Amino acid sequence: MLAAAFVLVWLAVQVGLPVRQHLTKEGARPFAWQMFSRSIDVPRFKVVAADGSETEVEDWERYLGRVRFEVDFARHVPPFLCDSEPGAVAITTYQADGSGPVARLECR
Amino acid sequence: MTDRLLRLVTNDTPSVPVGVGRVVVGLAGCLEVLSTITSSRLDKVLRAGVLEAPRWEALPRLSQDGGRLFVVAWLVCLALFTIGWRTRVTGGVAFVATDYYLAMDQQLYANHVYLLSVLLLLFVLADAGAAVSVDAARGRGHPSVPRWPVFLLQAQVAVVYGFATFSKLNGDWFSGRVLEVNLLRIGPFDLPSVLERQGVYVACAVATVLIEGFLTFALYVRRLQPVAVAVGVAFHLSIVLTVDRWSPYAAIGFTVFGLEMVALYVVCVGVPEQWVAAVRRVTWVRSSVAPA
Repeated sequence: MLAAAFVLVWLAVQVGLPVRQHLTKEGARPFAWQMFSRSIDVPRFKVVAADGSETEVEDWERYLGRVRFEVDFARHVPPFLCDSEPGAVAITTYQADGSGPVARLECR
Repeated sequence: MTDRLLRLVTNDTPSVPVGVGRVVVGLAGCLEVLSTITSSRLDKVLRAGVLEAPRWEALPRLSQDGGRLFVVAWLVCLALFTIGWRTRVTGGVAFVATDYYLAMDQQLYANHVYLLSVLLLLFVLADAGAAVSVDAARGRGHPSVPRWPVFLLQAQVAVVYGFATFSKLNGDWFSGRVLEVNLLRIGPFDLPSVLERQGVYVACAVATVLIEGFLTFALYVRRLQPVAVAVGVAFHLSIVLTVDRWSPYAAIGFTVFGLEMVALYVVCVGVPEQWVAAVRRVTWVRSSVAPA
């Protein structure tokens, strides 16, 4: 009975997880067997200074140990830039085409 | 439906194809970890001053020294799993190590590493050390193994190729742009300049979708199996030989992925009797392959 339950749950996860990734995520989708199926754009980040001015971080990719588009850059890069960019009071996230900002993280 | 499910979880299936598949997956895993070591892949991600992108913040992160020990231990487990020494334990530890590696940092994700994790778990559940293994040579072999994990291994072929096909149903892929960027332009398998045309890339994009769509179901149709295996092997070989090597280790990743799929082909199609007989002629394996 345990084996039967495992088979059903396993199949549900193996089908459901890629479907969920396709329905809820843009860009590279880990666990979805997407491989090289489309060109992937990465977001852009700007440092907000104390006077409110914004400066784009042009080469933030230099902080990566390995370039993988499956990384959730919007989640991980802003906190990292808060620590590594001198004078940053906030980090704003823009879409690859420059539209936005789509998010703003206040640095502490 | 319920009857079929009950039959699935109570029936057995021959152990030799699962044992052969285990060896192929184990070799693929060893190749992947060797390339991780020689390229210092984990080392680069764990270096101070580099972005940390854990899948879960609560997960402990290794130091660089810890990472070096980790990959050696991972490699040893995979090597022992490949030869079939205490297969369930070594395969189980290799599965946990592979999952930890994937969860430690999103920069370490690769589809073939995720597939390695999936296959390790299913091969362990399928008692993959029952044949063609040190375990079997020591008298712990069986002529058959549980059917249900083997069914899940077979189903994984449709999952991988099915979603790979579905993912490519977009204008970007069919425009040929993705292949134009990624097809090899250097080395012994340089794409001849006469073929560097948009029409060729579009044709290759369409052919790729047709091949992956075909492989999604063909390995389950007995009369299509020989063609499917030939097409699949040629397909993965062509990826290894023609895709742009933006890093020296990219071709290894494609090779690992190809080997993992070939292991699944073996599980789907089985092993010819002549092969089983040939394996039996090798002394140490003879006693490990129990008669069916």
